[in-house]
Amino acid sequence: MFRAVQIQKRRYFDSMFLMRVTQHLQAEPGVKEAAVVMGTPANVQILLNLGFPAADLAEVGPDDLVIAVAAEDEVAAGKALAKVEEFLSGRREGAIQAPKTLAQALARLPEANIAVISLPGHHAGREAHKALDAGLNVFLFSSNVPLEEETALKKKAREKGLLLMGPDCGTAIIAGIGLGFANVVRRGPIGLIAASGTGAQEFTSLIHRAGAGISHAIGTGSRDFSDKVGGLTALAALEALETDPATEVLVLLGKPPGENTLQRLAERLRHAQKPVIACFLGVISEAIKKKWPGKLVSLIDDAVAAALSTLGLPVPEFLRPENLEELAERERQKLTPRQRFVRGIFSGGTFCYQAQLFFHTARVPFKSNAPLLPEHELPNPFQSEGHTLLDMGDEFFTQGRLHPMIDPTLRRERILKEAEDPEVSVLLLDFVLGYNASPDPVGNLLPAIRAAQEKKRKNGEHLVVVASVCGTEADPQDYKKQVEKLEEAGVLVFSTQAQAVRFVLTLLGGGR
Amino acid sequence: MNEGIQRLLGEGPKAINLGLEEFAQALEAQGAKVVHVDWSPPPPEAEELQDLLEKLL
Amino acid sequence: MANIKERIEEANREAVRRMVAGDPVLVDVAPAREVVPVFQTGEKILLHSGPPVTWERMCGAQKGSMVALVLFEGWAKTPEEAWELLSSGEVKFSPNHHHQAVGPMAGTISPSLPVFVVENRAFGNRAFCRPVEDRQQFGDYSEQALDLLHRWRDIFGPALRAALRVAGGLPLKPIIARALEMGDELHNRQVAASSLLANALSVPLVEAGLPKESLVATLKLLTNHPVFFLGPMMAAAKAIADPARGIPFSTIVTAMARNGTEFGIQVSGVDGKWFTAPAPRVEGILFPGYRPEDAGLDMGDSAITETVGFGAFVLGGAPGILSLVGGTVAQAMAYTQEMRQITVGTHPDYRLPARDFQEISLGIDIRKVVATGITPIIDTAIAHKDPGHPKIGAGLVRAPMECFRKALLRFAEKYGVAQGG
Repeated sequence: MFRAVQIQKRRYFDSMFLMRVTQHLQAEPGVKEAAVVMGTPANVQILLNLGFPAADLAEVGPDDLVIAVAAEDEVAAGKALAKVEEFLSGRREGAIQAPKTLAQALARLPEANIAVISLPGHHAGREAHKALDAGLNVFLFSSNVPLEEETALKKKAREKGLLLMGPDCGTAIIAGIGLGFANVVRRGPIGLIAASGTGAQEFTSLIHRAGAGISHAIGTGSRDFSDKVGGLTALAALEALETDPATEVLVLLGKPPGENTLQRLAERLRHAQKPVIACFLGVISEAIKKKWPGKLVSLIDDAVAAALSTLGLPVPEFLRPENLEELAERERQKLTPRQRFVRGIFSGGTFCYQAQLFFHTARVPFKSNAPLLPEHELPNPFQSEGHTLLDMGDEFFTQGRLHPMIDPTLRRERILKEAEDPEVSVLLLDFVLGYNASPDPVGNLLPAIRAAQEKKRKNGEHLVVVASVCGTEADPQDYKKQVEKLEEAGVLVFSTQAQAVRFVLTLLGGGR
Repeated sequence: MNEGIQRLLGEGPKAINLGLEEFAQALEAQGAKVVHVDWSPPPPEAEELQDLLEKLL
Repeated sequence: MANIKERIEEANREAVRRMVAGDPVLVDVAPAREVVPVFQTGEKILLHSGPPVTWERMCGAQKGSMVALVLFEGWAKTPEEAWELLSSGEVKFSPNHHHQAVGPMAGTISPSLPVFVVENRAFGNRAFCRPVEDRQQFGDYSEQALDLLHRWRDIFGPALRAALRVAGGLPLKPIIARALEMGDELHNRQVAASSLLANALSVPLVEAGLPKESLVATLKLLTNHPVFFLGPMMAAAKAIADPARGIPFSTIVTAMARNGTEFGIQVSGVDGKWFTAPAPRVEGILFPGYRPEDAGLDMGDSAITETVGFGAFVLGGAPGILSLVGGTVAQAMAYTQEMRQITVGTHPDYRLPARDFQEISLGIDIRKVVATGITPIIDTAIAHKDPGHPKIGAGLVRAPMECFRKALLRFAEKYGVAQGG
């Protein structure tokens, strides 16, 4: 044991502060005992009791700082002593204990204006209630919040003049800041109200890539347009964006609303103070189209084009359907006669849905685990049949796992499995970039894509891999780099998901 | 009437995050103010008292 | 009948009104037997901190502290004899809080021990607190520890009593308010308040015509004791809190106290009851030579200061003891801000310069504690888990939620609010 005592004359520190310094010193490697104290008689007695030599302490007075270290050897003692000044500077400590409850957090950030909640459904609802009671808007990412609770929350939000985004709200962008899964997009005059998370991501990314920008993208949660909820959040968002000075044109995006909700929205839009474009991803009857008080489209690309036109902005080249027949024919030539089926393996629910819409409209039969209509139901989600369009983010697949936008495992496995099927000709994929998505969505799947291509080649077959990338060059993953990686691997990348699906249908011979 | 919403849209999110810590990190990366809650499920007694609190508070 | 929520709100407003009106004046330092009626029965009785406890369940430090007082009173000659007497059942134990008294750490009070007597001039009630030292109250019964008690009984007590008579009592509100502005939180940090008290008492001490030896010894104690004011402060806090007791329908906490075995709270609307939970472990820093495993559990009546809005509730104004909370101003401010969510009122006469002269908050509402999950935070010292040791450290502790849960259930039962249905 090596003992060292340093005395610094007339240097005062508060005793409790010195206790903390002592604690740090005791934690240094090789230190057995340490004390940093003022040299009061009581403290000197403590040091004597700890075995420090009386001779070293003879000259100490109560206004002197005493640093005493007992270490396993001289080197360790010297190193520890050298750190005392750093501990005395106090700068070493900076961590604030993390708050354990919403209320504690609110004490920490009294100016907070929103709670972002991604807890398990049962707890999420209660915390959302607390957040509203505390005057906070809520971004409720959690799914499986009961319908009655959703309605109760939304009514409470309305009474309090607050916004409840969700439950099952994947995406929002408020004043340029993304919540949940969100892309980095320019600010601009287009306000979005979306019941679909990936729909919102595709829309906002395309707006950005078209050179325009988003004022706010408000998520409503997937069930908001249903008659059980009645569009409560959509209506609140509509009112907010109408008065919001940054917003010039509004876009309402989601699956077709329930009948009553559709009516309510239509009535409300009759006195809209700003142009509103509705984009209902689904089959819309002529009757509805006629009654609807404003622009009504059913594809995300068309909604983007409509928003741009409304603002008098040019619609960029990449949004216009190109003639894809030539490319399709070239690919068709490479396929064997048995190869005729498409397998869509999607991470974005809306992308799976939009693909189904295209297939349905083109009267191409298909199956899906998240079917557009009951007749499209895939009996066993693990076993594809004919043309199959899979939503890998569906609860069936995500039980106990992360979402496929974060964890690529299941999609990787599925790609390899589909490549085994001699009847498969096309893999249709999506890649979603942005905050909270995987840091390299393309990189995650490339080895599987290459292995699938190789497998097919060995069997004397060809595999057409078609993809779209949802994101912007400002995203942490960088849209351009992700696309380049795909193209290097021979993947046919289309600028929007709609274009990618359109190409696949062309390839199938429909030419539609 | 919807002052709370207007404040959110005007100021941008200043968030309290409950759940996935990545969401808080993403907000921080975007320069937004955020406090992450080290949340754990409430003890059973809190649930049991919830109903009582509604009558008393 | 008016809505129960309204009645609670009204009762709580009244409780806070009474706490805010509190006007503590230090009127005497007297042997406990003179002022605490229970000591006049002739029984062998010792008071202690926290909720009621038996010898069997008593923690090591409190036992050691009891041994010291038995020796101090001359009821036994050796620590072994004292121990035997205490375990025989011949000595009765009673919580300080049942006798308008409080005591730091083990909090033990015996008939001959001097106590600070504080009178709340707004209500006429009195409260008592024993002096603060760093040995006997932590369970040390060594000769040094006993020597200090003897000096209190024979020299400091009488001298301070004489000085207070000359001064005609000493109002404590101005000292407390000023000390807050000087960076004390009036619990663990009493540097400014102790100096202000020494200032205020030094001339009366001289004027009291004491023998020189006694005068010098007392002045030496008074001017070199960084936590001297904790005694008067705790008596003041107790005197402030007591008038808020027994207000029907009030959910305001009137006492938080620990005996090293259990943490207990008392609530205005269900007066006389203790709501207890096992005493928690203190998060803290230790003196050189001690290890975390040496530490006893949370102990002392000193949380009476937090009960009326001081201590950890005003950490944000006490940068000098930031080491307690990990050394950052932000953390201290966060605690102070957090406590505002479980209190129902503020005190216009006590303010924190570091928070732009924000009023301190007080009146802990058990409903808010349960609803928010925020339990009161308390500054505290740390005693050894075994008898016979002096003070070993200091730190922070949270009151256990269990106490508040039990209190709320009892409250609901008493006022006929059924759970469920």
